[in-house]
Amino acid sequence: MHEMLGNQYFMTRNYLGAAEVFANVLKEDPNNLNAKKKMIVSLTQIGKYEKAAQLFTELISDNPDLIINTDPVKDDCPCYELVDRLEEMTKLNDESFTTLQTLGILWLYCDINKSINYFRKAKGLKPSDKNINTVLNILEKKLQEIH
Amino acid sequence: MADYEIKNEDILDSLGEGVFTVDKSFRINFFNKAAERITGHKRNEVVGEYCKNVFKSKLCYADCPIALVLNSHKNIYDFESKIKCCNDNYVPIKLNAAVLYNDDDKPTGGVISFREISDFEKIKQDLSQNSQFYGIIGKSKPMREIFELIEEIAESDAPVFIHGESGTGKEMIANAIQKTSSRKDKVFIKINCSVFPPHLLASELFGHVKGAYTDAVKDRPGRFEIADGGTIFLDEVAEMPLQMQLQLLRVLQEGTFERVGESITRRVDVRVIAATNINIEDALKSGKFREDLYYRLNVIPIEVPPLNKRMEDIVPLVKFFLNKFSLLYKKEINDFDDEALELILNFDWRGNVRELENVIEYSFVRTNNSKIISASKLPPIVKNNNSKKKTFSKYLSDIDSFEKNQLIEILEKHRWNKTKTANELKIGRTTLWRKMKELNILDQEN
Repeated sequence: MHEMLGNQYFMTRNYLGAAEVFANVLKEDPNNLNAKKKMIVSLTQIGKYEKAAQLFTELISDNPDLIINTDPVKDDCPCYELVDRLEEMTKLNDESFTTLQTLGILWLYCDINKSINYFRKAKGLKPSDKNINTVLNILEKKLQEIH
Repeated sequence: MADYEIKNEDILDSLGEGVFTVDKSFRINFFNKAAERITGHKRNEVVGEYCKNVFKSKLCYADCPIALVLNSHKNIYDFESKIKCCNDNYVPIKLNAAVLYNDDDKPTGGVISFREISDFEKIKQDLSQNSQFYGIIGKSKPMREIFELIEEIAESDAPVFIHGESGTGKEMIANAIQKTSSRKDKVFIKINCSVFPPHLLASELFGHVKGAYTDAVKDRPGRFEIADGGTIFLDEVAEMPLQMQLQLLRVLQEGTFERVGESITRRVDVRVIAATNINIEDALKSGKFREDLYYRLNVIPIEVPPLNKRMEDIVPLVKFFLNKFSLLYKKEINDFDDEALELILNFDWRGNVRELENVIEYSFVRTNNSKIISASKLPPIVKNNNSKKKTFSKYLSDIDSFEKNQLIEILEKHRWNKTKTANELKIGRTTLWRKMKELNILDQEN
């Protein structure tokens, strides 16, 4: 199972296939950040939110720019279409922690401000969640750097 | 040292096949000139783009050839697919796909080479449909006229004289005549007049009685007697000695003859189909063939055209023989590559269909571990033929004009009524309209 096959699945929005391939790729090379970046998105689409959050925290701890600098068009990032759907759900009163956290993850691929807003909302529901606090610390620092 | 360094890009640009490569993220990083020509996309517009955004095909999602190679670890050859061009039209292609690996054996990209097959596929499909008539392969105008004639004369017992070069399938025509005639369930005797010495030919045709000559140890009926009530096919009839031609004339006129060495007159009712491969006009002029016999035989003349006068029939014939040899040799080979086919189409085929069949069998036998016969497997006489009478594209344009004439004929037959025409062609009216548009046929319906 090669990363290239995972890329093809990811490109064609076959998230289940992509998640399977990237899981194998990361088993062999846990430092493959490109595979991790796509794996996070794939996991959010197959309902593995906890694993997605864990990998997301790992990745932004190592290299937050890898996600922040994503160009949605040039990098064929599906996040805009994915957040659209999730935000529709929040309008239907599904403002669960998982949904807010996932929106925070996905928005970071497109817009850091919106991402931080969702993570703050998620923290409001679970103030002591370790992942959320770590993520917010990193992202708020990053935002200050940017400004 | 070479005078100049040959770049890989130059080599790839010189190919007739479209070639593009992608990196491991499926971004196009090379696009050759043929790919530009086939798709209409410009290299500088597509390099750096994801291939799915350029080709916008559903196949990118379901059947990406490079993903198939990554999954199966086997390169893909002659995979049929469609590619979207810059004008949003889809072009059918055949493609080969491979994955590129680095030194650690990790995939780093993929390469796809492809060629357009739309016209070629159209021809193969169109011409293979309804191209058989009692085992005779042919959809060209002269062959269709022959098939029509055979059907028209089905009720007749009149003699038929088939003219045509050696290997054009005269015996097949005779078979079809017999099978469509009212005598189809009766005996059908065939004899090649050129293989018997004169004294034996008489005995073969009319029989003999014991003692008629040294080896005649018992009475024996001739082919005419055996064929009584049925049909006889006299191949290479012009090789018959003049004396025997007279006897044949009598059978044709009166239905009577005598066995060799006997004076009893016998009567038979035999339908005669004769054939010759010589120029009968010359034979008449030189006195080698009797004029009265000629007129008696030539009640229904059929001229079988040589293969090089009916190029449209070559592709269906090729397909037919490939099927035949696949069954015979229990080996699945179903096509020639384009180069081989072009050589076949450019060859003179002086030996006609028989020679074509032999060439296909030769190439077929030589091809192993491939479903496609390449030009290198053709016999030298075909492979080394450099008489470029026709380019492949000229052949295609000939086919189009053939198809156009054929369609106009059917439209005229139905007074340009599209419903009736579509019914005869067993296609929908929309398909008929599209076809008429494609072939620039103006609607003549009032």
